[in-house]
Amino acid sequence: MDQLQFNQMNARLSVYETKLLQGAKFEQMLSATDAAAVIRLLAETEYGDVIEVGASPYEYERILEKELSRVYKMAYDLSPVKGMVDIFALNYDYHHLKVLTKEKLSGKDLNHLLLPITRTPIEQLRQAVFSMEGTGLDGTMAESVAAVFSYFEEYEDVQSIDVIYDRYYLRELRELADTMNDAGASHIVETMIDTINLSTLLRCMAQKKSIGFLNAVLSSYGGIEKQELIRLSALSYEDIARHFEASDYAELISEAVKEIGETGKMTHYDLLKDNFFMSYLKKAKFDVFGPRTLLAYLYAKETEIKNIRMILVGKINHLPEPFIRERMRESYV
Amino acid sequence: MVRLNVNPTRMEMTRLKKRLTTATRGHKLLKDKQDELMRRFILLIRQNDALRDEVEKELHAGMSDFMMASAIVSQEFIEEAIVFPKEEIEVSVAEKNIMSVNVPIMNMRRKSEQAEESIFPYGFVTTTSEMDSSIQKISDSMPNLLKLAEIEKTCQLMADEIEKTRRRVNALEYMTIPQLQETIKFIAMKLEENERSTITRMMKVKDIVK
Repeated sequence: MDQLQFNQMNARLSVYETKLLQGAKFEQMLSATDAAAVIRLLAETEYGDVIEVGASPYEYERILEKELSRVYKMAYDLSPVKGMVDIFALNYDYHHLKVLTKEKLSGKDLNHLLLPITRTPIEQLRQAVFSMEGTGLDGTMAESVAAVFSYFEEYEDVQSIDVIYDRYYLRELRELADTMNDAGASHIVETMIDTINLSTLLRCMAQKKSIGFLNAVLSSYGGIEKQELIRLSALSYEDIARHFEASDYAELISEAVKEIGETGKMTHYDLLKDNFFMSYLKKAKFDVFGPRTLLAYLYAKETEIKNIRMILVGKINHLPEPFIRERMRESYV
Repeated sequence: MVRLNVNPTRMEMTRLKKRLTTATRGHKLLKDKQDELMRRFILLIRQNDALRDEVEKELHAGMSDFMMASAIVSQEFIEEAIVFPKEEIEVSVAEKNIMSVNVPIMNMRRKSEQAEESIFPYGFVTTTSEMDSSIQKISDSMPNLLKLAEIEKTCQLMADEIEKTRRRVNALEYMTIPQLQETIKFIAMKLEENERSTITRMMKVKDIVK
């Protein structure tokens, strides 16, 4: 891939990066008395354009959704290679497929679950789902729709809808990264799939799932071999941590195992996973060439929104400040 | 106390005496029933109280995890994950008679128990472990939740029955029985009065005949 084609985009992104919320703003939001005060603080920032006058703090999802939608639209406009944005936007397409499939199978109206962020138009996805064969879609996505309906028809297992779509999502993500022919993008996608696989492995172990189930839910498109992960499921958590001692995931796994041992939960894993990504993508901050800056910016925005959501949910539910603070993700700036 | 509006005859008195015997017996029986209902009601209320505390704790823990899950993942993703539930629960309701009160007995049957299936209706990519923990806790609280529904309904029905029985006992104790007693006393006095006046009349006639 021609790394020089991203030069102009990278220069503009470095300006947009300065608009990302700084630590001091998050501190102000954390010290705010209530959710309404957080919204008022947000209105002073880049989010001001999407916050209507007198907006209720309970409408925070609409605000965050609008901002994210704006960012993705801008990213598509900026990027000379749309596939780079697709790496993050693909998730939303598969979310829409899941919603539309469940709408068709349950007969409920689930339009309120569709998001304005989409790579493929909703109507095209709806047509594909309602045909039950993926009509109008290409390649992996069309295959996923057909696979879901054929499996559901035979076994009527609700969980299989998400499991099958997730499997195809990770496959398409890998295919997308491969077509980009960019080492940075491939590494990011591989890491994404690996961390998802590791989380799935640990969650399945906690749920005492069978090897057959693991085989169905783990993806073969990550850096860690699927069979290796399945083999690991027979070991203890400590042995799994030892197995990854020399890998990039050493800290991630050891912390998750420690938490499972102490509390039986793996809440910290999701936080560590996000921070792990962030510390990798932060290295792209000073990239002049290549698409990594765009991926880093999109991830930074997704994380920023996650942190705002965490603060707002915390304030709405009157959670203590230290409780919210310890769950906040590392920010990009 | 208001006397019953009846003819002061011996026949009426006999009839009222019979009614008084029945009312007194009925009063005793209803009083016993009320005491037994109260005893059972208090036991159930204690059980209900303990169970409610337990269920509230379980649901609170489940909802806290759910809240934390919703702080990380957007509302649309969370709702998509759980909008089409996998778990189906059948509840069959039978009836049991406690001191003439028909109370429900709820029997729960989980579809997933038969098939040894997972209770989670979603995949692993867009959900978090907090979501698993929340669903697990809420699912685990289901048997207790149904037991609580059964006990609360039983308490409600028994409270209605206690109220009804109390009203009947009070009506017998403070209305029917005193009314009957007073009417019987009145008829007895009236009959005695009639007897005395007959004797007096007879004595007078006897004097005139002499």
